[in-house]
Amino acid sequence: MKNIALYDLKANEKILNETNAFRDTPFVLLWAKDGIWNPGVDHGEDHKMVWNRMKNMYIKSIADMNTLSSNMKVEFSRTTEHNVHFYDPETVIEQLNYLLNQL
Amino acid sequence: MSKIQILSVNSKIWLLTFLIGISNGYAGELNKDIIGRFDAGGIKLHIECYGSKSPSIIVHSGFNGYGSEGHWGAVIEKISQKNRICIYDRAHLGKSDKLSKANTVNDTSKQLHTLLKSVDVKPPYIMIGHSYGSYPVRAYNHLYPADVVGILLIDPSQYGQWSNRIGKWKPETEKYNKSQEADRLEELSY
Repeated sequence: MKNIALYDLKANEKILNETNAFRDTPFVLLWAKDGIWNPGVDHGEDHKMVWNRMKNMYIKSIADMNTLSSNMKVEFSRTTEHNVHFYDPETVIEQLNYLLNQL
Repeated sequence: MSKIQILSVNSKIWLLTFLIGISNGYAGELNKDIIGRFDAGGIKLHIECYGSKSPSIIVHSGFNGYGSEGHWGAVIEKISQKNRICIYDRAHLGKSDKLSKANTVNDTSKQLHTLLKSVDVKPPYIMIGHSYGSYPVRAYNHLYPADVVGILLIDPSQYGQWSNRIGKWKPETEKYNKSQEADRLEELSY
């Protein structure tokens, strides 16, 4: 995917590494249905070290997402589409109402 | 056809038109309280806000995406009846000003902070981040923690995802072909 918005991706990673997580802010992590990749199967002999590195980084980054706030919940949408708000707006609305009720 | 039958047919046509109007809901004109390009600190960004009640909900779009694309209509239609909801176009995208150099999530956050001041949308905010939108949400939350009272991340980019991509290719550990290297460079190019 072309980076048409001129994001400095390398700098962004460094910046986010130095940011605080969400503490106790009410937080909903809404994944698309089946949105979590299961990297259980190895990629054969091609680029095995690269594959293992990517797999381990992915597993860790997903685990880290679940520790961002002490007041969080994880939900899955009814759609497998990435644009959940477009294909399943009702779930997004439900989760926003949940957050509004937390305040 | 009798007069009663004609009236009945006309009634059905009106009813059908009315129902289509309802089902299209957000496809029609929503009551935009704020719409336009406003100062975001030396740059003008496009923003649209609907509804009025606090806390305001601020939408951060995904990678290369922008608020004015029109993907949020159904959410806006419902939520704006209760709370204010704003979509905006990050710099260099959609109806916002172009940039002359690369930008970071801190730039984005500071611009949004100024933009929201410009349009008098005061905190507290609930931040929504879709996909890559999770990045500016986290940066904004770090820079202005008192402003953010709730966070919804939708199928988000995981934090660290791009260092994964950046760190993927290490010549000292494995060799790669030219097309793979070209793909990587295109993804990271700007």
